[in-house]
Amino acid sequence: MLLQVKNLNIEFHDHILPESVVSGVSFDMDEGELLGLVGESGSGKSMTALAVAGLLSRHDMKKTGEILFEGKELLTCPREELRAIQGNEIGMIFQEPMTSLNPVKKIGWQVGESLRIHTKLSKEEIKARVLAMLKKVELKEPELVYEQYPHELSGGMRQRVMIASAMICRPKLLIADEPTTALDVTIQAQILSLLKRLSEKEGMAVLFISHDLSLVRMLCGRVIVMQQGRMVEQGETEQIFSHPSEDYTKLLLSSVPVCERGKGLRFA
Amino acid sequence: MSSILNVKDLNCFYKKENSGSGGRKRVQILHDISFSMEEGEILGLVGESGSGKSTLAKAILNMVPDKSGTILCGDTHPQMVFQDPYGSLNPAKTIGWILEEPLKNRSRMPKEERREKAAEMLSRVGLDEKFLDRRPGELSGGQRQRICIAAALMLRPKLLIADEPVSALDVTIQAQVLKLLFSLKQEFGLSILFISHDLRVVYQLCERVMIMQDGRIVEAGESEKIYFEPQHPYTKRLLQAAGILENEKSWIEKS
Repeated sequence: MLLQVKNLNIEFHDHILPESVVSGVSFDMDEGELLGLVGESGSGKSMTALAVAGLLSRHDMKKTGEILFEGKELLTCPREELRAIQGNEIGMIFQEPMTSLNPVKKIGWQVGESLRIHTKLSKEEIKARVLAMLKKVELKEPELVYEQYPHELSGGMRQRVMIASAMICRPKLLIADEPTTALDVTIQAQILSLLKRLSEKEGMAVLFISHDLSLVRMLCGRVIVMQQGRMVEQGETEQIFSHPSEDYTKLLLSSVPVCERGKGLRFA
Repeated sequence: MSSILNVKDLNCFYKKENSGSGGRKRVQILHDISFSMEEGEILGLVGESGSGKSTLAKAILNMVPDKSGTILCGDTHPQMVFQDPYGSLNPAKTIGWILEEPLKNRSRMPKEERREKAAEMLSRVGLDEKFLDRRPGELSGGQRQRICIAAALMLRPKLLIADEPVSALDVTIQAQVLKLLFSLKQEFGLSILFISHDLRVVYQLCERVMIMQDGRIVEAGESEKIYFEPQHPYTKRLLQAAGILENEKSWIEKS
């Protein structure tokens, strides 16, 4: 078992009354597993992901429950220990690659950053690892990209760079929060098949967060459906998509436009 | 049925700042666009970012100064609905004011009658009369998009141009707004040019579809044909990427 989340609750305390954004979320993830987390905006999927990544440390926020990563409790562990895991054993990529990259630093520097933090490799070794990683995410000219700035790259190339920097320390878990939502559909297909191949090759588990049910269906073996901070349903993707048991899941699935021959013009 | 919009050999240009030399370059955005729309039709316009679909919408609304070719839309004044309902509504004004504004500009209707019309339109888009005194900030994304649609319909246009109207909405709300658009089309005999990057949504709503790439219409025809017997390689690539052509899982597992 790679990750166990038990009865996770997250509350905001910045108003007079505490506001619950995630309540009673529990799930497990195995090594190398692709798990989908779907829901509409405000369902708490990103909050859950940020909590797992250890990125929720605001003082006005109360977290209870357990998050066990390889048996280690992340919610209560000291900051230094958490830092050793973040970016090293757990990597994360976000929706908007432009805002996640530093506009004034070269790509090579940014991708190598977690290696400089988490390892004692020499400059040359780091450069070699970065170039190898840029090649692994199938960027066409790794040497050129190494010397470029984010604004010189297209959206798809930036997201490849993000994946490279999240994976450079060979994490066991990659959290991908809407990684292709800002991309065109043809680029989206390239990025997702890259993620899938890399996960298989490296044995890396992926927690894939998306509002797009058809993507989750294509990518993930198991799926969790969330609504308003609660887990509505979880199980095998095919099972949930073909025989949803909860009303909300049914509503969600019926809202996805069907694209099969002769089934157009649904509203006519 | 008669045609409501006729576009012939449309070419559009933008001026692009030339970094370095300080000069400006004339860049062609649309190349020889020709198509027509029938009365009461919902026509889909699909393409990726930069394909020129929004420029085409702007050209029809006469918002692109540098263009050649002809655009005929009779005496109809097309109205527009945009993607981002947050950015399209004045946050300082009430919904009532927003809905009445087009009437103020285009007619001499007395105040009471304007308000009546606004209330009537609100109920047409499925919202209660009490929203008249609220402001955009108090509304959800779906409700705001209903307001944008209502505002666009206040002058009873025959042609509505909807540029990614449901792209910012959650999937359950998206389905509701699409349903609304379709029922409004029936009710008002409206023609809608529906612009979207989402092939699935377009398939649900449009009988005919045009596929755009790099400022050109590469393929156009009945949705059923385009989606399941595409001829142009770009259309095929687009459909495969969206997982529509071939079975759903193939593109990920093949590579």
